[in-house]
Amino acid sequence: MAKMRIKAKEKDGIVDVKAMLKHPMLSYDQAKKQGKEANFIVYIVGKVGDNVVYEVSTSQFLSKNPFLKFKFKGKKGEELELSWIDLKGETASKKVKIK
Amino acid sequence: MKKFTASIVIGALSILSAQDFNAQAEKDRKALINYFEKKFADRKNANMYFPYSTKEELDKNFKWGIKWEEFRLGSYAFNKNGREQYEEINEMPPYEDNVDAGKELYENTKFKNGKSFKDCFPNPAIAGDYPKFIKGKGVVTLSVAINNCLKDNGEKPWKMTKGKMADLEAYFAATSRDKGKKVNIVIDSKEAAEAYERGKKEYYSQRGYLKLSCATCHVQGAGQRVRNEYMSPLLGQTTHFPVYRLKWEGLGTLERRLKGCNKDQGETPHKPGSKWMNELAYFMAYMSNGMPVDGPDIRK
Repeated sequence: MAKMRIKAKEKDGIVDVKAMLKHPMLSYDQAKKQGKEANFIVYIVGKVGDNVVYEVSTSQFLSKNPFLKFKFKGKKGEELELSWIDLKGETASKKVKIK
Repeated sequence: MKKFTASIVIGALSILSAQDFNAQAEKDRKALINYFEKKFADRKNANMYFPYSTKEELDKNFKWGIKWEEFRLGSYAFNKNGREQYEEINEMPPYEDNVDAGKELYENTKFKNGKSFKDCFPNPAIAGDYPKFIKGKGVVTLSVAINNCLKDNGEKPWKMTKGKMADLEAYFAATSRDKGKKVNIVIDSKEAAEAYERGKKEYYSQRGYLKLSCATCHVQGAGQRVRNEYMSPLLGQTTHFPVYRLKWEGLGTLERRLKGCNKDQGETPHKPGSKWMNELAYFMAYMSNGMPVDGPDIRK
C-alpha cells in the first residue's frame, strides 16, 4: 500500500473520497500487551491547493489501517493531497488527481 | 469394408465415452443446485430447512429467492446484516495490495535458470481451471501447480497457505475475474472420475471427535447458525479464493481454509498438497462449475 491508498471521484460537483491509511495504530493498552511502543495517527488533513477540505484530530479510537470517507465540493482534474502525522512525529502524504 | 465400418464404430464409441466421464458429477452438481435453490426459495419452507432458527431472524435477516450464481457470495447471499458489512468493506478491499504483490511476483520473479512464472503459466487468467487432473500426477490444485513450477525450475517450493502463494493466486484470481472467466473443472478420464468420487466420499464422511462431515455444516447446515455465525453453502464455496479473512487479518488460500475447517471438526488437519486435500478440492470446485470466478474476496 505504501503509506496510503486513495480513491477520489467527482460527481455533480461533489468529490467522494475513500482512503485507507497504513498504520499499526497501537493504543497505549495494546502496546503494553504486545510489548511495543504506542503509536497512532493524531492529525489528518486533506487539501486541494491551499484549501483545507478535510481536517481531523484523531487518537487511540481508530483501529489498525483506518479507512476514511469524506465529501467536499470540487472539480475533476484537481489534485487532492492527504497527509497525516502520528504520535512519534512521523508524517506521510499522498497526492491524487480527482477523477 | 467391414474393417472400415468397425473402426468408425469404435472411433464413435470412444468419442461418446470421453464425454461421459463427468456424467455422475454433472448429476451431483445439478442436484446440489436444485437443493439449495429450493432451500432458500421461500420463507414458507423455512420450518423444514431451518428448524433452529428464530422467527425473527427468518423474517428480518434472511433474503429469500436466491438463484444459482448468487450463492458464490456464501452466507452473504442470504444473510442481510452480513451482506451490508461485506459491501461496506468492499468499498476499499483490503486485498488490493496482495493483488499488486502477486502481479509483481508473476512479472518479475526470475528463477535461477533464467525462466519465470510466465513460462509455466503463460496466461494468468487460470484461476477457474484448477484443480486439474493430470495423468500421472493426479489432482493438482493451483497451489500445487505453482509449487511444481518452482520445483521443476530448481527453486524452493513455497508455503501453500499464505504469503507469496496467496499473493500470486490473488493475481491469477483477479485477472480471471476481470476477464469474466467461469469455474471450469474438467473430468475427462476414468482416473479423474475416480478422484472426483473419492473427493465426494470424503466430503460426505463423518470425521473428528465431533463426528461432523463437511456436508453436515455446508449442505444440511447451510443457512443455520453455529452460535453467531451463519454457515455457508457448498455451492459457490470455492469460487472466491484466495480469500481475505478478517479473522486472519490477511489472505489465505483454499488449502489454508480447509486446514482450518479440519481443525474445527476436531481432526488433525490433512497436509496441504496431500492427495486427500487435492481430491476434496477437486470435488468441491466441480460443484461450482459454470459460476463466475470471484476471487479474491472478503469473508469473516
